[in-house]
Amino acid sequence: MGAPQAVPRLLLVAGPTPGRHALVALAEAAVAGGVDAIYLRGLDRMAGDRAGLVREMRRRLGPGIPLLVNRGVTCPRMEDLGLHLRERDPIPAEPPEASRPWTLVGRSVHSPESAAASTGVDYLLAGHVYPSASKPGLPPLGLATLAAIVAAAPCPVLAIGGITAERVPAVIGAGARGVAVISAIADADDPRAAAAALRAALDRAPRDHDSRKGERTMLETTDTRASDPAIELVVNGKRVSLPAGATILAFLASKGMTGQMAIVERNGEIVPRDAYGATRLAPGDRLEVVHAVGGG
Amino acid sequence: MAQIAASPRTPHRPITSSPADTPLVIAGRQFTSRLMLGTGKYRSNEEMHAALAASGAEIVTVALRRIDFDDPASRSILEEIDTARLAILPNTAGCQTAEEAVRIARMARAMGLGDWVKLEVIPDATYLLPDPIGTLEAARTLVREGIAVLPYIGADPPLARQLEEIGCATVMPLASPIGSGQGLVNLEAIRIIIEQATIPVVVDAGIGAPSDAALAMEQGASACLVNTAIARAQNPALMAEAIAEGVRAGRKSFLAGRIPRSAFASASSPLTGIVGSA
Repeated sequence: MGAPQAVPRLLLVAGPTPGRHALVALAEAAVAGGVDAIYLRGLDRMAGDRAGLVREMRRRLGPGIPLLVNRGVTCPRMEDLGLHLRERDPIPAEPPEASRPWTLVGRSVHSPESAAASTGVDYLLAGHVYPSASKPGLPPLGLATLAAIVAAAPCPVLAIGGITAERVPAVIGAGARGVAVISAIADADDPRAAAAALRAALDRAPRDHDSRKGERTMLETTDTRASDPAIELVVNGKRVSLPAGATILAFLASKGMTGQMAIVERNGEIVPRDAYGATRLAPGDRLEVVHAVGGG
Repeated sequence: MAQIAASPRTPHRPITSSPADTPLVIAGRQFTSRLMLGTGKYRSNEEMHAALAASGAEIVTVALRRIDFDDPASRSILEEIDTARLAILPNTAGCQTAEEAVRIARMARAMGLGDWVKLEVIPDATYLLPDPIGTLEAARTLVREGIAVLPYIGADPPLARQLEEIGCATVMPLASPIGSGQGLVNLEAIRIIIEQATIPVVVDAGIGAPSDAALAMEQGASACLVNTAIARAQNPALMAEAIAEGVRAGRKSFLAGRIPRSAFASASSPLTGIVGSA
């Protein structure tokens, strides 16, 4: 088996659709710009020497960059690959750690319910968050649903769908660990520069208070899930325990609220509503969360 | 008050008797209705909606409270109210000190429904009478922060003047204690406040029936705020309509200019040409 690999923050989803750039060259440029994993989607629909493509890609990217493929794809030396499950794919029963064949396992989800059911995977791909050319006609999830997915997920979440460097702070604020992109890099004039811009935006965005949640390997994630780092704070006078790094939006989403009706005061300071997604809660925070009720 | 000239007319042609009323202007916003409604104490949302519709109110008050995260039924009343049609006036009910009221007023502003607040600083739970000193102190702070302040006060003319001087948008003297339905126990003091004020005077609290609202409006009050008398009436929608009519009747009476009170009679029929026996 391959050694477990870290969950990425900037994932490039590359597909069989002939893009502007040859696949291997695109992947190389993206990695040079700061992409830290490649998901080779739809390999089974790809014509030609798939095994050769994967081998070439694996060799050119180097061992540090996870390369993920779909379930059902067979090619030699699978042990150096990661597995990305589509939402409809069955989640494989978790094999004994020693015989786990994948370096990294991810799964696409479109709802908090699906996220909550995603046990035994290392990361989730949640989307599409914004309107996306890849999903014409389908309504985007929006930031509140992304936050709800993050709250429900047992592992780090990457946001996908319409992601641009400008939108990175918002999705990170909603609790995503990172982002996944297709066209933002593949259709760029300069894929390397596009990747670098996204990377810079990710590096600037506030990180988790406890970034270990995202950095942990597959093995550690499995072993320590029961003792997820949590922070204690006081909400409306009651003690509340939340996952480290939770934002106000994620907290409200976990209570089934969108944040539209809630007014939040954090340690005596009112938090503007449009900052709920970017405001991470810290241990010991005191929150007052109020709304309008009938009154005279 | 402009006199309406009595003109010769045929008995079959009704004429409108209402001179054009000026709109009620509060914090730069214009309103036609002079009845404001509270949204508390209704037995159901259905009864509240029916009352709001029947009242013709354009301003409704709401309070701010902690969200009860253990109660999935805990909803914001703003999910019930058409905020595009009704102006939402948040209050600081429940605040016992100036500091608390300022804090709630700031939170209310964060709702984004307008920079105005019905300021209530009420330390006394039995009679719910407002603290004049705390109210003045909180009003000063909030006015400085650019919030339009509508202070709920006792019927205290010097206090009303001070609140106007520091820049409050209205004063809201109480007719009698909140929810008591006692009517205008402070009529004379309210009359003085109205006489001296150049900002709108909204009579708030204690109105129990249309006659109370009419009496307040007859004195020249700019508007009335009513909650309990409608919410707790056996038929809230019908009472809302009745009180709205009371407000309109009182307003028209004020505009029409009532006669002065006299200790003696003044016969309505000619005193000459009386059929005599002589």
